[in-house]
Amino acid sequence: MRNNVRRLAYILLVGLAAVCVYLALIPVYINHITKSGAALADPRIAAGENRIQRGAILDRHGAVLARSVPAENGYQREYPLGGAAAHIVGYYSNKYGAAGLEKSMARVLLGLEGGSKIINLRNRILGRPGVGNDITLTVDAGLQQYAAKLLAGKKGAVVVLDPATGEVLALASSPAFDPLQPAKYIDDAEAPLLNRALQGAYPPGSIFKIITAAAVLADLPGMAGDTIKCTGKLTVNGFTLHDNAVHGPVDFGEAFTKSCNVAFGRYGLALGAGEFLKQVTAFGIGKSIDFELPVYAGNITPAGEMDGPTLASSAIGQGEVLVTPLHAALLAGAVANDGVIMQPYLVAGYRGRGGSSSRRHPEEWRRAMTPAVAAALREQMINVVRQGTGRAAALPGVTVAGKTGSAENPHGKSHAWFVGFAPAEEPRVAVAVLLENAGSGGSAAAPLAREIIRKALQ
Amino acid sequence: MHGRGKERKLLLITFLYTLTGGAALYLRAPGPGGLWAVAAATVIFCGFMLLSVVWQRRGTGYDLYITPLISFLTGTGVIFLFRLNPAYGYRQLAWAIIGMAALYMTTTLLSSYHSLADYKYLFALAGIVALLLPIFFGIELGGAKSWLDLGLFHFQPSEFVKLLLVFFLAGYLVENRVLWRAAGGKEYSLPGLQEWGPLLGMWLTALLLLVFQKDLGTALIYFGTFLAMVYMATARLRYIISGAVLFLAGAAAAYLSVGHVRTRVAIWMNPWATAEGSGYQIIQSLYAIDAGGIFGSGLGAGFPEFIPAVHTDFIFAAICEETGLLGGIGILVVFMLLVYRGFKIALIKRDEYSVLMAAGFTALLGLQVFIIIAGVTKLLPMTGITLPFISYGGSSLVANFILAGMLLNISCEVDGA
Repeated sequence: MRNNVRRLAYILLVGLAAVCVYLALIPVYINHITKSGAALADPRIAAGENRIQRGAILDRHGAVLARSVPAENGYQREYPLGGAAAHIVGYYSNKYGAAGLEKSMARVLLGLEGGSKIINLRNRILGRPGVGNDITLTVDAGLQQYAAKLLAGKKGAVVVLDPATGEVLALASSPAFDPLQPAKYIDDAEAPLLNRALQGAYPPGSIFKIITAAAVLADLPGMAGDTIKCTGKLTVNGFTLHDNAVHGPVDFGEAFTKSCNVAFGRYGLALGAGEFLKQVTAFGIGKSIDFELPVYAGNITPAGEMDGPTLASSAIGQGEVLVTPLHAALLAGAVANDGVIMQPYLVAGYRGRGGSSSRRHPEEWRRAMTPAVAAALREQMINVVRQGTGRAAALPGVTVAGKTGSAENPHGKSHAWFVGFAPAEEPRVAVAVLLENAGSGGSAAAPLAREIIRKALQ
Repeated sequence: MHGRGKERKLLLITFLYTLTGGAALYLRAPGPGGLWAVAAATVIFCGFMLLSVVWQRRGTGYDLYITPLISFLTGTGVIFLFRLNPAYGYRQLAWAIIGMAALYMTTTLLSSYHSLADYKYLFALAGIVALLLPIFFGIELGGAKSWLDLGLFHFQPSEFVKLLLVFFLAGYLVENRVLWRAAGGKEYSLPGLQEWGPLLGMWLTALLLLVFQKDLGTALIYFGTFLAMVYMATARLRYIISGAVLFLAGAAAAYLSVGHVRTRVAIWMNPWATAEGSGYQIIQSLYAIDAGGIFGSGLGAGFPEFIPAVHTDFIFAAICEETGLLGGIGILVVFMLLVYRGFKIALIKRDEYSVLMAAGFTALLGLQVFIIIAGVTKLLPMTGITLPFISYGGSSLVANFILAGMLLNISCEVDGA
């Protein structure tokens, strides 16, 4: 009997030990189930967040873009700017999850990161609800609202940044959405939840000539002095590239201000795929940007597949080239900032209720061109606004530099682009305006850019 | 030779642990609930200390580890009940006091337990009657119709019938052991009623529980304890296997004919299919254990209230959520120590009756812990029984204190007395 008792004891003890091991595997199982997406949402996550007063999101002057106010069962989120800043701030819903900074900065806003460890521990022991950190943005709420107003009723995006620091001053996308009711927009055909400024992949059209021009100035200085005869079309290996007009004989400067496709197609072919792609990469096209919100990296045909016709069309921003409005603003910013692209950023810093704070400092992202090339391009971009395709962007008393683009696309009328900066002598703002299917950049996008520059320089 | 200093030292450590829990509750939510939790920790400590002093005076040789272990478990239960809902805490504290009294009575009145073997058939009869009562006069609580409404409180006879079962089987098996062994030797002998009668009787009792009281967990414990005790007494695998087969057949029949058994199995197989309905409870339990991580959210910082019936069947999930994997394993380790101690007591005895009774009580306890924890963690279908000493419930707590008292009796009694 004794042996049987001993055996049974082993069986029971091993069984209980097995339960201990099994217990440790439950998180693995739950992780597997929740990843497959079939699971019911865990109410603990939302309940835990509701106990914490999420930090506020403030603009560069302290104006409130999002804040939490006490309500029954925790806190209620408020967005004083409504749809105007919706694509930056995002939304935060127990049911639909989060987006924008509400998502990417959640750990800071909830006080899980940053903040004082000692205060957090004290709150935990005493069961006090945690308090999140307030974050301060580089965005100017006034400019942001103004940009949103100009975009109202249109589809497109506006990005305004300080080229010397990379601070994003405004970043608007239209149509917008109400951050308190994201669910209403999920099935909307106009895709209001899409942040067009960061996630919209658009052919850049002629604004891309900034990059081609930079390559010509750096690598083919002789060609920049030559005159090219524009007959309105360029045939490469049996593929014909059409121009918007017959420009006749044009030098480099005229080709840029009049946005001559034939000349720039030729420049691309003369540069060759290698030199051209080197310059494109120097501007960061196709390179992921480390930003507080997800950004589409852009697209360019790789060297191996870059045949003649593709090279000629890529040189004028067509072909397979795709960029986001943020990246377009960085193109203008590179010229404005002596060839250096500053790392763009939205969050200037945060401060915890316990007094801790952090502030971000501007950093260089990449060197797109030499200061000399940037200076030469700046003159050309001033001419575009003074006497070229971008005249509608001109402002009295301020020298505006810019480049228009009218990007052909498979969805109808051209996308209208304008990128530029002002004041040209000492740039304080770089802008990119994109209007989907709005026609030519000079007539649709440039006037809007002018109003934004006017407001930004006030 | 009868120094109980070690016992008191261990009780003091247990007290520091429960006192910390009570203090944490008070600091998080200053108020009567927290103060009462501190008081409860103190009362349980004082009660066991008093017992220890009394036993020392009398010079009894009770095992030194049983009361520290059960005071740890009871203290954990009371603290968690105060955390979940102070109303449960007050009542559980009252039951813990009654339990300690019952433990003392057991050690006093049943110390010469050998004479109990003479009343084994009386125990069997009393057990059957007690199980039948709820079928006719019972009320249904938490899905099981196993309760009697006694006005002031609800009484669950099946918790006490567990004890009668062990009393009966220990007496019966020791008496008939020689006979069974002989029968086992004859390969071609027809099985007699004396051999198969108890098996069929137990099987019917388990089915009765299952069908009429809808109490799957208790049925499982009874039958498991029965097979465990038969195994220890006879080591006849053929009999055990027949029993297991019979049980599986009964379970299959129950699965096909009893709706709630089918539901339990369906929930176990895939709770996610009915995540907002019948699968909700087990999913919340798993989420709670997952949320606890390694160290837990801290006492009072989790969300155990998302689990329905968290204070009874699912209290282990709440412990895991707030004290983490380490806390959950800690509780399991304490149960393992208790089981180890129980078998140790069985193995130091020379007479078969004592061995079988101590091992039977221990197997009963170990099985119950395994079945309920496996249930709340989805290792087995959820069967709805209490976690001994921890879950809310007076019948269960008092019955387990009596069980512990019996282990103490067996641990000290001089052989053959």
